[in-house]
Amino acid sequence: MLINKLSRGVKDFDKRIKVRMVTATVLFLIGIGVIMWAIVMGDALAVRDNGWSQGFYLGIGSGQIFAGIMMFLKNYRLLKDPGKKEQQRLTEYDERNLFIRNRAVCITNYIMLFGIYFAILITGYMAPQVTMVLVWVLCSFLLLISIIYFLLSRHYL
Amino acid sequence: MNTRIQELRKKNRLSQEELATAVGVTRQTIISLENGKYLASLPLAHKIAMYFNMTIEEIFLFEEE
Repeated sequence: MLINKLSRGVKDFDKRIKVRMVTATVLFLIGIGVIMWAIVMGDALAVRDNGWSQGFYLGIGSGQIFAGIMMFLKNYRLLKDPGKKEQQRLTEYDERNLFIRNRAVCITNYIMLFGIYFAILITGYMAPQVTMVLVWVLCSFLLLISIIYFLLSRHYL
Repeated sequence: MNTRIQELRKKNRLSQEELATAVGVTRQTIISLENGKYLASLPLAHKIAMYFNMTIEEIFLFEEE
């Protein structure tokens, strides 16, 4: 089951590095796809909003290509250098680092939740459309937390 | 929580880095444990106890609050 895999994570560090390299390749390919789409749809996008969309997609695409290349190279270097790989493995699997990472995610989630809530209160007066989007984001977020909490509580029974 | 890690480490003439490598954590984790800022998990406490050939209770000094 997916929740079992997610809660366990990838224990084998070599496998984890290879998964990251595949992810980097996918990221790179999506980036190329986005750029090609922005170029092919160039005229249609330019007519719609004076080229803002085209610039947006070109920016997103190039960012993804750059991130994909960097991520691939970093992991490839780790795979080829046992010393660096061991150092990285130790850093990533260190229980204090994992604890800090989990705490950081937890605190950030609370800040995001309250941030979105206050944004809903403010935009409700100025931009109802934005409010509706934020309400959907907040509800989806809370629903997702409830589902994952339920699945994890069953997993750790 | 107080621990005897620093005392035992010095007694065995070990550096923080050496102990960290031996139990599979980073040096920062050993520093945090010695300062009582971080509470070790049961597997890590067990590894440290095994390393010094002692029991967990002899190294980690539990105090009821």
